[in-house]
Amino acid sequence: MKVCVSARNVHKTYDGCVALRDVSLELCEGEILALLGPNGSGKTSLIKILATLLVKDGGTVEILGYDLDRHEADIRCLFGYVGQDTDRSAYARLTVRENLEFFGALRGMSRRDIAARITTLAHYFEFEPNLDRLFMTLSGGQKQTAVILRALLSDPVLVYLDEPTKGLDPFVARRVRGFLKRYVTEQRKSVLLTSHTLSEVDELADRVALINQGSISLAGTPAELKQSLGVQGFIELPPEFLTPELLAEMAGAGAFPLPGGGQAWVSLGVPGDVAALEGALLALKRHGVESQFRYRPATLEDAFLRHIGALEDRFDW
Amino acid sequence: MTARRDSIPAADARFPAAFHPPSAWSVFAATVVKDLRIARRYLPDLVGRFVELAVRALFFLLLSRIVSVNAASSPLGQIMTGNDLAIFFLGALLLFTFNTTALTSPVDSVMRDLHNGTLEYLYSNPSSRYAYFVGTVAANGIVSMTVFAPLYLALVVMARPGLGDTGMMLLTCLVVLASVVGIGVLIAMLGILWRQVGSLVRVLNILFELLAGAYLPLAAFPPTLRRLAYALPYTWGYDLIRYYSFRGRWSTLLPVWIEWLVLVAFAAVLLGLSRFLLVQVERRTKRSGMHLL
Repeated sequence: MKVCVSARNVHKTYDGCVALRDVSLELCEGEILALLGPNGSGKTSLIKILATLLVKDGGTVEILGYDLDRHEADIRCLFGYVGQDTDRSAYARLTVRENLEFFGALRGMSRRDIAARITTLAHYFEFEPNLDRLFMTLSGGQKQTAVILRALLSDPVLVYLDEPTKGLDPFVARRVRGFLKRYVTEQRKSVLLTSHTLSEVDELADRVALINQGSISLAGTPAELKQSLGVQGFIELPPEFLTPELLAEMAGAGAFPLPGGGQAWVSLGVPGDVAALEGALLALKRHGVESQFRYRPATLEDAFLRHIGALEDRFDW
Repeated sequence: MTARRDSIPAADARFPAAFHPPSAWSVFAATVVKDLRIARRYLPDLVGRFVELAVRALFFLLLSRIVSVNAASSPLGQIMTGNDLAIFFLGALLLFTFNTTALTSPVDSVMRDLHNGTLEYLYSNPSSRYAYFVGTVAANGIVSMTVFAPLYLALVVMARPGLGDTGMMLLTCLVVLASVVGIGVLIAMLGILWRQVGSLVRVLNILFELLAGAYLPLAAFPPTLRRLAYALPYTWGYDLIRYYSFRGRWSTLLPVWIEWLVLVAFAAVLLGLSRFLLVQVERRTKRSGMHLL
């Protein structure tokens, strides 16, 4: 597969504070790569470096064959970018259409192309009624949509999205996700995104990179990350039903509790084999709590908590 | 014809231009259109500017009826009073109209872009930053024409210069404007680095208005202040405007051709410096993230 973005040993510090530590990643054509990490882990810094908004201190970045250090201007023609603070990312006293006309011109598009593209995108995102409203009068979600439209205006081959569905209602968020999925599969575009909505990442991303304290600690497909948990799913039950005897029996069956106390439900990881699941269910039945528990498959969030938590020594996994 | 809602917009075949940086001219034009649209939505501000200049003009016209400049300080070689003094003040006001335009519009634009978060977009796209900032000045200049035009007309009616002198007055304004654009862009860069530079703009406004000889002939200044005034492009602009509006009766500080040379040199150096520093400041801010909210 053709590599669109190749970052090697990227390093960035702010006043002696390390934001990125020798980060390397590749984004391929027709791929969605998600960067996951806790707040302040370096996701946004990395995206801003790729979007030429920050200058890295070390390492090399190649985007579609262009070296970031030598061909910054060429690279700027290739991507669309949605930053985090979309509430303040367009001219408040211009309408959405006027904003898009201006931003399209800054990307070298002709007026006719801009108009055509606005019509098409607004139609797809059902945004036509808002096109002639002042940006300042839009709701947070509408502003977010407008900024996504701006990123897609020039039909870029690369799109960087920093928490793209933040503040969007479920309908619009679903439409954005649908768009992105088809954008990469049908048009072979590439998307790099960050999100704290892990179900969204699970649905969208072809690959995920976990970033923590400025380093990428793990990368793989969402399925691979979930597999790395070593459990297939979780049995959850209210803490008052989890007696020490039941816990011991569950452990004997191979199920073990997920760290983190003070929650409404206690989670016990169950390995993938049928015998373990059967043993755990029998233990629950013996203790008369067979109608109190629920079962859920392992998610990306579990993998995230497992790996980031373990890295930060938050949990004794 | 529009696409079906459930089919995503077509690929890039129709947008080849998107893969080339836009020309500086198209960035300039788009910025002018954008800023004029915004200005239209801040109508009270436009009215305020017009009223401010009108009040100033009225004040100095009244002043010209009751004060006079003695012959020793007057570059006319005689007591300057009445109509001559009115022409003297109008020349200053004419040039001062563009002061706000050139000096404050780039910094206002930076402040607005920092507030709106649009500076981030500007810094991530391939367009000419210089064309963008000059575009903000041009848009403001077009708005200022509503104030400039009546003042210019009033000066021409009062001074009755020849056609050549009328044109040279306009040319002087344009060259001074170019110098101040350079200073304006430099201050805008400081705005990116320091955020709050309003006081610096106010200080420069005072210098350009009071020290450059807008309302007092330079001959009336002590030598030290006079030397400071020579370092300001406005000094030479005021002097040339008065030379042309008094149809050659005004004694310039230096021979006219040297004053033109000084004025053009100011414009060239300040524009060149601002263009150079624009790149440096972008690089520096991108190292530290200062352009980010």
